[in-house]
Amino acid sequence: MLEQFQQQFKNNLLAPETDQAFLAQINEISDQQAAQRLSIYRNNVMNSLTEVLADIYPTVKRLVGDDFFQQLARACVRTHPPQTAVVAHYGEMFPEFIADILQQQAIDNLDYLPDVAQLEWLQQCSYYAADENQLDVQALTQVQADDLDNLVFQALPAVYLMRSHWPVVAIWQENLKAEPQPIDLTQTQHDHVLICRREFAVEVISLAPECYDFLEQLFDSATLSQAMMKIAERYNCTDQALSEMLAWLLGLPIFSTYSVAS
Amino acid sequence: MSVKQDVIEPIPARAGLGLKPQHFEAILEQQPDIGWFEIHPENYMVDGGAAHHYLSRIRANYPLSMHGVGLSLGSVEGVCDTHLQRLKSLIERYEPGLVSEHLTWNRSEGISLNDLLPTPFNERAIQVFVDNIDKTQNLLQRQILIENPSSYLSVAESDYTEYEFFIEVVKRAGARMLLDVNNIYVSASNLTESEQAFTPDEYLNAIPAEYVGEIHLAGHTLKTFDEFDIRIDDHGSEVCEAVWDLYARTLEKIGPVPTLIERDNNIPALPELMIEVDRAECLLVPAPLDTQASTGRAYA
Repeated sequence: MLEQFQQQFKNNLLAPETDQAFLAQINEISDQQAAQRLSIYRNNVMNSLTEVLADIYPTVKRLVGDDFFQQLARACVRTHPPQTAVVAHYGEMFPEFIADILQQQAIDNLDYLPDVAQLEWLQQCSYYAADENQLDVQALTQVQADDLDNLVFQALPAVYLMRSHWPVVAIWQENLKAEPQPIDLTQTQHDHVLICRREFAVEVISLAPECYDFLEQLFDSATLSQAMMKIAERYNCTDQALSEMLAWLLGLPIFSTYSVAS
Repeated sequence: MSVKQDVIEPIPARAGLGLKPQHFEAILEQQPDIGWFEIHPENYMVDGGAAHHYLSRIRANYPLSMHGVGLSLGSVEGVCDTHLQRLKSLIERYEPGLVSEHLTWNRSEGISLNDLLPTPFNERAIQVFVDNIDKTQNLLQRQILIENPSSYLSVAESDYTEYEFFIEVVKRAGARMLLDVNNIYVSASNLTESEQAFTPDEYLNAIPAEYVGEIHLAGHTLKTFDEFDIRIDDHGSEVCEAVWDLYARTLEKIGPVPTLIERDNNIPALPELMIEVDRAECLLVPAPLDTQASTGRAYA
């Protein structure tokens, strides 16, 4: 039966070893030869998919080393094989998979790893996100003074926000260097991260907590005045500080359009 | 099936090159004299970013061919509708002169494996391919080309040779052929001990010339096991001399058709690949240029 043949072939490629019973489906002079020939396909599949993960997650790979990364990636491919033939869509589950493995194996010195992985996944998402024009700040000068408070901003598709209990941006940046230096993880350094794309280059920006909160409000469809009021209350920000923050944000590739809430 | 065939820009019977991100900038800057480019559509099934930016600019200057790797035309469970729709959208956006896929499968129980997997060569498998190709051609409203596989093993319950199976599927499905000359060589070398063994020339001589709409040329590597050698179709090196010879014999038999230099691994700078592009072009051009042979013309 062709259906069973394809299911078993697929299962054999995802398994670490060949199921001897399946070798009867292959026409070769010996089982050993059939198994070796089958292993060519298995190696192609495993190598290409672990390479896909290595391309998305270079920092994770650097942090844990090639061998452990290979083990993690192979285990992830076997547990979560792709449901799509588009490799750019594959790999989203890796951060969560890493977290599960760390927990299962009681590895407690890599707690930051899932968040570093998540930061890399969001860069991948940003890289492939839809193209839209950045908001023309000049257009805001056309807005009636009365309407300014009621502005609602739309985020560009390539924009992502991420919060972490670890200094993920510092860890990521340090590991872009040829000789990364150790980072002190003993102090609590929560990170508030903005991922955006300028032309085709993804940018990772560490935000002040109030700035992150402000953006989160705006992306959640708060009007400009609602968002500013909340941030002023929560962080004791002055109007001037808020205006400066807004001006700075408007210079980044974050917003696509605005509308005026009625 | 009757299909309206409006090819916007046919692929000329010249040498083309697989388009790689490493060469995007160089191609836009230097505008090299290459007849056409080919992409794997799967690499462009994303919403936006650099890939679309460069492809749309390169497409403005060159004919384009789309060569899929993910449709899984041999899958018993049928082709994935989502994938087929994505392919249709890309075709509408970039208007390729040729669209091709493989005589393989890679999807089972909703899982897509990133390789081109072997099929038994029997009646049941022919029917699966024919049904899937039919569905694809109907949805895309165009004829597609099917590429012969490179095989590393022979599947039990095969009643046909690889080329008999290939010819039967293409004829019955109303498709055309993408003849990968390197794959013929690789499969012939790898299946010498099988009941369905063949020589490259036996394969070539069986191919009905009028069905061939495109040729692929690529490099492979020889891997040695204890008892046997295998040629791995890794597209990671230059086309070997034996394959160039077979290519020359192919052109003698079928005439000039668009020929792709494929390099997917160990990708060198553009000038190095141009040596192979020029070599293919030299073999193609002495024969009279006949772009009609390559347009994926309408079928009744």
